[in-house]
Amino acid sequence: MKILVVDDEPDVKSLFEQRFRKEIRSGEMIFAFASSGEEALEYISINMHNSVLILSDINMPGMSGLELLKKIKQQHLKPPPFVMMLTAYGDAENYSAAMQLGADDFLTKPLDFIVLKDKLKKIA
Amino acid sequence: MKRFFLTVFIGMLPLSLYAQSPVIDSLNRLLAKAKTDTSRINLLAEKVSALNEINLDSAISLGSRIIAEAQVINYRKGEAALKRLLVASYCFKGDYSKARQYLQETQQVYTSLKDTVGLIKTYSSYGMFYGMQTIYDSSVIFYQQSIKLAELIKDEKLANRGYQNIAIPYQMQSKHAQAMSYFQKALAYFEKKKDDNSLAYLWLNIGITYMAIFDTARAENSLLKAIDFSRKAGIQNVELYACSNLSNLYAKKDSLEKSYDYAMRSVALSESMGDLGMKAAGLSKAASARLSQKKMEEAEMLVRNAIRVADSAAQPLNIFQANIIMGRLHLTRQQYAAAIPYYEKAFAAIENTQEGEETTGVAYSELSLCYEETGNYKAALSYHKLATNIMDSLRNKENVRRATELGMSYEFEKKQQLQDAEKKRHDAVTAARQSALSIGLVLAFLLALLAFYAYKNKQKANLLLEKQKQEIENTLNELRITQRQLVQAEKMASLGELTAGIAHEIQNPLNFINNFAEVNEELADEVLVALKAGDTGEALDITADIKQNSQKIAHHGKRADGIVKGMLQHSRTGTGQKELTDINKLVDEYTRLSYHGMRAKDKNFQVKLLTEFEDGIPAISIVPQDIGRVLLNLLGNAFYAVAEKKRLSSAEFEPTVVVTTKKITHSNGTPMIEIAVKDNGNGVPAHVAEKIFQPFFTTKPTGQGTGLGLSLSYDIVKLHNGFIDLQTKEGEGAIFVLQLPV
Repeated sequence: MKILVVDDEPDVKSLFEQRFRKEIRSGEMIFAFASSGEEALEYISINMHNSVLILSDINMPGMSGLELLKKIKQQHLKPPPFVMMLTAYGDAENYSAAMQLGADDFLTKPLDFIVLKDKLKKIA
Repeated sequence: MKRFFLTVFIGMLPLSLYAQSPVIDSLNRLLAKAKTDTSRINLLAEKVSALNEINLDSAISLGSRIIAEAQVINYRKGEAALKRLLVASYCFKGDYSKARQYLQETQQVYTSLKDTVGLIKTYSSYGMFYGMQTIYDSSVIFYQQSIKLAELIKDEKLANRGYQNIAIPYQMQSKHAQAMSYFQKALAYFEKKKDDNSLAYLWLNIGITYMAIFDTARAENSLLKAIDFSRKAGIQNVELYACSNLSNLYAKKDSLEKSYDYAMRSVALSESMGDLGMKAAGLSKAASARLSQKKMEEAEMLVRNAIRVADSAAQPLNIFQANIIMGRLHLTRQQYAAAIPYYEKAFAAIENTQEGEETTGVAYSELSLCYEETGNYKAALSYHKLATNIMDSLRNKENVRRATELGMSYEFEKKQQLQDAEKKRHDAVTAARQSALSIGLVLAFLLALLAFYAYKNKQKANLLLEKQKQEIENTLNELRITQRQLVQAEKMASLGELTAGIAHEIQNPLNFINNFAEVNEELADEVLVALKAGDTGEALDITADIKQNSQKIAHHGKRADGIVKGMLQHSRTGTGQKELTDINKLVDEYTRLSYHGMRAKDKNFQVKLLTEFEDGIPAISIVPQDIGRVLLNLLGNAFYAVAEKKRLSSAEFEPTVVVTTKKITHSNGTPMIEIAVKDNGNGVPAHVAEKIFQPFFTTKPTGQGTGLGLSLSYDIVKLHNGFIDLQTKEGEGAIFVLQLPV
């Protein structure tokens, strides 16, 4: 399973790599990281043929996570990529905006990696 | 009074033709040859009269000296003539008590000498004396006296000068019919004498009177004649005023191209005469015409010019006109915020001279619209009320005028009409005598009836007015309540925004703290397993990871701390004590503090830091730590902006930050001190500038800014009853302007 994590905070990479070190070591999950929406779109356009699972932050400088979500869902890729939003701003407004734009799931920070791992395993 | 002065002045201008310096030169030559004391004094009197048109102070000083000489040789007629001349000088200077004293003394002398011509001139001076003080009733009475005497001794010239003069106070009282009949009388005389000069003045005044009674066709005709005669007589000033009035006239008729043409002609004429005030007025009119034609660029160029000229002429009315048109230009472009300062400047200019005119009323309602569009409802309401007041009082005046002028005809077929009037008067006197009694009775009855009807009507109108007043007051009260609620709601919203921001923002560092802590716990277990298995290499690797993770935990812990501290600062504003503070010293201190802070963080940081402090800035009462905090924020942002630009751009870019202080007067009239922090960074895009003072709004990368600095600064400045504002152009840097009341 290929997972793209989009977040502007550099420590996210280290956190995910350590939290999923067993899954990475076993080859069960492969992680890629993008530090902005723009970078994420570029990655998706190159890796379109692989089915990719996307985990994206919302508050980022430049393109926000919601804009990224909108753009991905507008591309009508087949199969449609699974997009999960990860944000510190878990208010109702943000949640409903994400859902309206077609987000497949929504988790709030601080992240509970047990829940996240569970969800990822179910999708796979 | 201004207009009276102007019209009288124009009326006197034929004299001023003698006032050129060659005239004084030739008088001086004659003086050298004068044989007797009396002829010397008479010549000197002519010189005083000439000086009156050039320099009032020299006229007064020379005049006073010769009065003394005349007293020594007991030449009473000369003394009186000089005193009468000085009446005009003192009137123009505004010293009316001295002018009155001389008038009384002159009158006594001429009465005792039985000098009728002298008395005629003295009465005429009385007329001017009262007219310039806007006491028009008395002015008319004295001019009437002077005319009566002139007619008695059959001095046509003096009588006709009297007709020309008396028309002016009539005109000022809006008694246009009387004014017009005197103008017509004088017109007949000067036409007979073929006096182009006087005819030019007369047609100008007649044109102005026709304009006042909205007879556009005759006004146009008269003003065009004024231009013809002024050209023949070679008097540019009359041509100038005629062109200026024609421009107004065509603007009212919506003949905009013609209005523009005549405005520009008046500009050219005033330029050659060096009359800056009229030049500004002409430019304003031309701009107004272009604005109505929607030729915006041209209008803007003209009005900018007009403002410049008006400012250098320092004439309040011209400054008012020009700025109103600039405001209107912005209003037409829907740039409401930009329009406001021009309107404010316009009203500030006429604050002391203000009279409720239609233009003022329209301008007030335009300004009200601007405030409404920019969300300042309180100012919008107060200007709307001003506009309504003026419009109401104008409407009342207009009704009075209509009522008094109803049925009057202004058609003057001069010669024929004079004969008709003579005949009619004769008939009327006989007829009147016969029917006086019966008409009197009928009239008395009608009057009683009318009075009763009017009383009833007035009662009804008063009731209606009372009701309307009540309604307006209710609306006003509702508006006040709504305003208070809005202010309260805004406060609550900003508080809510703050707590919501904190609650969410703190989750980001917490995400790392919680998760890295859990990871470390797992890693510690793995170290134990590795050690038990004797795999020291693996154990060392994992320990290195653990150390790195705990560094991350500490880093994000500090970040959380910063966020909370920022909020505490935000909620703590206003606890410090106000004290008298030297602003230049404070700004200097914090500028250096901020600069060194930046250098401590980044040793490679280079900036050209300039300070421009105005001398003599008074100490003001502020909480120095709070204003200091504001300065640190503004400077920190400026340094950050130039450092960012330097990082992203070529080596040629020189980061520059300029800090200035100066005294200003705010557009609401209060004296203030302005501190500006200017950087040459990348500037702020409009969508960011909008939100820049909101809590938790930041453009800095996560972790580098809390987004509370400017919001906190905003609150501090508001608590000091000051203003903080951002002026910026994307790509060209930003200026934060801080204004604090003295």
